[in-house]
Amino acid sequence: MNTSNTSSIENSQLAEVANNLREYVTNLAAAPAKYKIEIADRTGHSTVADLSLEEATDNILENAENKARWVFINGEKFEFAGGNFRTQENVQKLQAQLQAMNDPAVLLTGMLVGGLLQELLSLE
Amino acid sequence: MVIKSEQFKEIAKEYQTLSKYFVRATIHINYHYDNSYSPVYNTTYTAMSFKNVEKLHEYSKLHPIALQDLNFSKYISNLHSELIVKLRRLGGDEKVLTPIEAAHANKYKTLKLVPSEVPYQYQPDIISRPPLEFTEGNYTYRFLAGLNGVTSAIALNIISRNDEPLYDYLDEGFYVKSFVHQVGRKKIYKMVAANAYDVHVAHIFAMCTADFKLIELLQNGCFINVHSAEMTRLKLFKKMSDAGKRAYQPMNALIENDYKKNSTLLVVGKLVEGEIEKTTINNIVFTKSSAVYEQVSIEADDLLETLYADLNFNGEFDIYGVIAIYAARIEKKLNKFAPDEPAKAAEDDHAAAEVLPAPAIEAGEKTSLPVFKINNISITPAVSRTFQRYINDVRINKDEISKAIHRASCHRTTEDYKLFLKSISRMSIKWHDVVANGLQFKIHSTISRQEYQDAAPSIDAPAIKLCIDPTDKQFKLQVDKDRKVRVNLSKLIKKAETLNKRTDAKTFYPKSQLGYYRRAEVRDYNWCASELAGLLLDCCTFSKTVKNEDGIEKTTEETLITREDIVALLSVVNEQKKAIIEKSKEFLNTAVKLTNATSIEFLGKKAYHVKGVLREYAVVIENAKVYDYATKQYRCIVNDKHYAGAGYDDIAARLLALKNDSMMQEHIGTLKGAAQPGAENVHNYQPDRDVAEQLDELVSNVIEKRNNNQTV
Repeated sequence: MNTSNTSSIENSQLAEVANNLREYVTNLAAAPAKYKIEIADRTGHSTVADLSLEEATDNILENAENKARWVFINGEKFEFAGGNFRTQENVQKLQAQLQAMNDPAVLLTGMLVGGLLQELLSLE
Repeated sequence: MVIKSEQFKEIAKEYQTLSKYFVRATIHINYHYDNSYSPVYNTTYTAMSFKNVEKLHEYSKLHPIALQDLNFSKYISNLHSELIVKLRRLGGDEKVLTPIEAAHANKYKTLKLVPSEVPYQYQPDIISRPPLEFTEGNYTYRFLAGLNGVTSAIALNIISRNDEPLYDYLDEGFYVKSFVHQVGRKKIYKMVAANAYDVHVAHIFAMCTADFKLIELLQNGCFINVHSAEMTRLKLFKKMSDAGKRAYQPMNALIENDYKKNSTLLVVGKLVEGEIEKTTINNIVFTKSSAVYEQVSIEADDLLETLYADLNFNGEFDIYGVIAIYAARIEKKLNKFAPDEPAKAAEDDHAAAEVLPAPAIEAGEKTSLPVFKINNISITPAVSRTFQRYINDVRINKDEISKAIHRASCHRTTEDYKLFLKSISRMSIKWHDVVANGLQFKIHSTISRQEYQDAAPSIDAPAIKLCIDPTDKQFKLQVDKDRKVRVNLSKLIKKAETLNKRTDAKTFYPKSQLGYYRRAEVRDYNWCASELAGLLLDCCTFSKTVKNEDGIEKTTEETLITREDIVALLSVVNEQKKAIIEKSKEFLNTAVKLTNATSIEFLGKKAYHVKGVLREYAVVIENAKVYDYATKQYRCIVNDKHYAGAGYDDIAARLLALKNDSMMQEHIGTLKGAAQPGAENVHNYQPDRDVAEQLDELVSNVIEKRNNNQTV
C-alpha cells in the first residue's frame, strides 16, 4: 500500500513538472521576438537591443531615411524599393525579413561611393 | 534694354490705366527669365504722389501699395498732414494686420483655431488694432497695413470706403485676407473678411484660395460669418471646380490636422476660464493653479496663465519643462524691478557671493513676489532695494534664479532645499557644476557639424577636471591623482565659453605682430586644443610681489602649470579616442563574422579577404583601400559625404558592401567592370586606427609661440 501511495505521489509531481514545462515552452513560443540593431556612428558604434518588431522597423527606417545609412540583415543588403523608404511594401518586406530569421544581426553602416576616377569617367 | 513691341504695349496699357490715379511716380521696368528664352517684364511704381485719398483708394483696387513707395513729402503731405503721421505709424510699430499666433488666443475669443500646419498664404491675417480711419469729403476710409508676404515690405493691404460692404467688417479681432487672380498681365484683387477663425472658416479661406470664383458666393461677396460658416462651407464645396478641388485637397488634410491639435488648446482654454476643473495632458494632471506628475508638482496662482502664453500644449513636454517655464517667468519678473542694473554686478556676483558675508536683511527691505510651491516646498522670490535677488531669504546670483527654482523639483523637504540655496549662495550653480563635472571643450575629433554650430559643447565633448583643494581652499586643475595646479577659475570659465563659441569650423586669417597672415586657418577641434593650451597657461599664471633686500617691492609673474601638465590635461581627448576605436572593433568583428571574411597578408600589409558574387576582394586595414584579390589591382571605393562612422567602421562598411557586390553596383559605380589602378593614390584618406601622440608637439608649439610674443 505504502509503495503504491508513494508512486502515485511521484506521478502527480512528475505530471505537475511536465505541465509547468509545457506552459514555459508555450509562453516562450508566444513571447514576441526581440531585435538588436548595431549602428555605425561617431562614437565607434551604438547598439539598440530588446526592440519589438515595430520598434526595430521604425529604428531601421529612421536611420536609413534620415541618417543615410545602409541596412544589412545577417550580412545581406536590404534594398528599399521605389526610392521611398516608408511605403507599405517596404515596411512589409522589412518586417517579413526580420521575422523570417532567428535572432537576425542588423547592421547599419555609413554609405560608400565609387571614387574620383569613376566621377571623371562619367563626366567624359 | 531691348523690348518687343507687344510686350511694351502691355506695359504701356498698364501705365495708362494706373496713371489716371497718381500724380507722379518713378517707374522701374525689370525682367527675368521664367523657364524660357523670352524675358518676362514686370513694372514697379515707386515714389508715388496722389492728389487725394480718393485717388489712392481707387489705385489700391488695381495695384497693391507698399508704404515705402508713397512719396509723403509732396501732394499728400500738403493736403493731409494728419493722415501722413498716421500712415507713418502704420509702417512702424502700429501695424494693424498681423499673422495669427497662438498668443492671440488669449486676447481674442474670435480665434478658435491656431493654424500650425496650414501654410501662411492660405491663412488670413488678424486685425490686431483698430484700423486707421480718415475722413475726406463725404467718405470715411479705413486703412489696414501689414507685412507683404513676398517682399516683407509694409503694405497698405486694404483701403476701404464706408460705402463698400467690406468697410463694416474691418474691426479689431476680425480676420481678413486678400486674394489675387491673374489673367495674362491683368491682376484682380479681392478682400474677404471673417468675424472669427474656426475650422469651417479656415476651410472657406482655403477653398477661396484654390478657386477664386467662389468669393462671389460669400455674403456681400466679401464676408464669412462664423455662425453660418458650416453651411457656407458645404455650399462652396458643391460649387467648386475640379481644378479647385485638386488644389484644395492637400489643404483640407492640413486644416484637419490643425483642428486635431487645437482640441488640446480648447481644453486648456476651458481650464483657464474655469469651465472645467482639471485635465490630463502628457500624463500631467493640470488644474488652473497646479500641475502634478507622480511625486513632482508645482502650485502657483498664475500657473496656467503663464503656461498658456509660453508652453506648446500640443507638443511633447514633461513636468520639469513646465517648472522650467514658470521659473524662467519668475526670473523675468524679478529682472523687471531692476531694468537698468549694470551688467558688471553679474560679473562680480560669483566672487562677491563667495567672499563677502551675506548682507543683513531687515523685514520690509525687499519686494517679494507671490509665494508658489514646488514639491510642496514654499518658494518666495524677492528683490532687495539694491536689486539683489533672494529666494526664501537666501541671496542668489541674479543669472541663476530660474535654475535655482527649477532645482527645487529635485528636493523633497524645505530643509534640503534651504541647504541647497545656501550652498549656491556661497558658490554659484555654474561653479558647482564645473567642479563636479569638469569643464568641457570642443577638442574631440569626432565633433559633428551640429556641435560646431552650437555655442556650447555637447555631452560627448571631453572635460578637464577641477577640484577644490581643502588645504589652501583654492580651485585647482586636477592633472592626475596626485598633481593639482592652482587656476583662476572665474577667468577659465569665461574664456572657455568664448573659446567654445568661437570653435565653429569657420576659416579665419590669423593675426601676427605685423598684421594678418595670408594663409587661412580653420577654427576646428585642433585649433581649439592649441588655444586651450594657451588658455591654461594664462589662467595658471599669477602675479607675485616680492620685497628685495633693499625693501623695494617687485611684481613678477609666475606660471604654475608645466608643459607636461598641459599634455596630461589634454590627454582626455586621447582617452576618448581610444575608447571609440576599441568600440569600433566590436562593430568590425560582427561584420567579419557575417561576411565570413578572413584575415590575410596582402601586398605586405594586414588585410581582410572577402568573397563577393562578382569577384573576391582584399581590404587593407591600414588605409581601407580595396583591391581585386586575384589581380591585386586597386578598386576605387570611398566614404560618401554622408558617411558616419569612426575607427574601423569604414572596414566593416566595405566588407558588407563587397559581400553584396552585385547588388551594390547600383550605389558604387566602380564595382562595375575593370578595376581602377590609376586612382590608387588620388584620395588622401587617413583613417583613425590608433591614437597619435601629437599633444606634445602641439603644446610645445603653443609655449614657443607665447615665449616669442613675450620676447617681442
